[in-house]
Amino acid sequence: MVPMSNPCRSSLWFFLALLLAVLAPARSEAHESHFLGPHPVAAKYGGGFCLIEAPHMHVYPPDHPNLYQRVGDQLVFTADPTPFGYEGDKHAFYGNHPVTMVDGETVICYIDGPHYHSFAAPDVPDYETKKGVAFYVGAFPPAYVKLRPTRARVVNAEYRPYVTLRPTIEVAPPERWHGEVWVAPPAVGFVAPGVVVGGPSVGFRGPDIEVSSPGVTVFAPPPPGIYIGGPSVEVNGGMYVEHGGHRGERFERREHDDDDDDGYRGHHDNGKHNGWFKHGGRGHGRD
Amino acid sequence: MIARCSLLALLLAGCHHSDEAVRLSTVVSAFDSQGWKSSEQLRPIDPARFSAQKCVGGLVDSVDAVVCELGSAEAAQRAKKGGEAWVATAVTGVALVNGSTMLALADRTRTDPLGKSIHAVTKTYLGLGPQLPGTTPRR
Repeated sequence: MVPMSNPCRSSLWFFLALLLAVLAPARSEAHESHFLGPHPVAAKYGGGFCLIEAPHMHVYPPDHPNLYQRVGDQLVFTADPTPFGYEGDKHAFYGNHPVTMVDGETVICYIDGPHYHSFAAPDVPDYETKKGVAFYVGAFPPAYVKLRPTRARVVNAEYRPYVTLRPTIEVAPPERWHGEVWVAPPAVGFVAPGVVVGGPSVGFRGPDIEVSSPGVTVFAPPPPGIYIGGPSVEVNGGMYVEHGGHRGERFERREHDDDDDDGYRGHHDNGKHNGWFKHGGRGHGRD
Repeated sequence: MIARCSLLALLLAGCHHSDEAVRLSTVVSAFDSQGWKSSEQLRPIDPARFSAQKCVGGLVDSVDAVVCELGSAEAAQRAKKGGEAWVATAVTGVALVNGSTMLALADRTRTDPLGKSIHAVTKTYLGLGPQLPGTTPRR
């Protein structure tokens, strides 16, 4: 007598086979997160800041994918490491700038306003440093114009909770700088009915514009420009930047009246910290 | 005499920077010089898994490591895939090539959560000899 098959048991086996088929590839793809350079460690794996500079793999995806630029299958952290447990030397930057070159692609930091990086700006004409703050005054690649509206919005939204961790900068940007003026968002506080609590007042004086309002980031969209990349140059101690003598037309966003250095105020932290000077000024590379 | 010494120095410098200089023994010596006692810690393992001529495996600065020597730089690039497979499900891992060698590291026990050891080892490794495209450390 042939025993009849149990339909429930067959379904169970089918379900288990299906489950294995789904899970097996997932296991073999445990290292699909390929990173290039240091980056925040996922909170699930203890947090902190991974210091590996060489290409490497982790079992976890990044907690803040908006702060990475994907180049091929590699994720490059492009942002300020301060809020993520980084404890090494820090260098102050203001505005957007290239971070590195990976396989011919320029990786760009889209943080508006003052921020830190673990690397110093390279000593090249495309950067101008004033009082320890690096301003990128070179040309951006065409992809920057295309991606900036989206990338800048999501990246700067990620840093909104970390305003107090930004460096304090009280220096006018150089004449050659054509970036966006950043105004600190208002401090978070409780507002009772009928009571008005003002945020920090930050102002910028230019020739035709005056802004003095908390919570506003002022920028004008850049006109289209032409960019011709020069040779790729490695600069020891920080990053790769693309520069050279074949630069095309630079983006002209806004003319600065730089006759008064006091006319510009970056973020003010109300004395809560000492900015980058708490690390003894311009530090050296981590290594 | 000075000219002869200069020529000798140039030849020695040329040998040091030759692509052939990066071999398994070079890597192990470099790790030894960092105090990781790799000559004692690394033991021969089956090289077939990495399509290599010879491989050693063990701990380097408390991290699981495999170093292989291959016939050519092209073969080392192919062996990198084997290194990535060896890393498997470790929380953190690397598979790099330099010259005719391949280095794979895996933190399986989460002893290096911030990658300090792995960073130190990879920096030493990639600092040996000329760099291959795609392996230049970002600094």
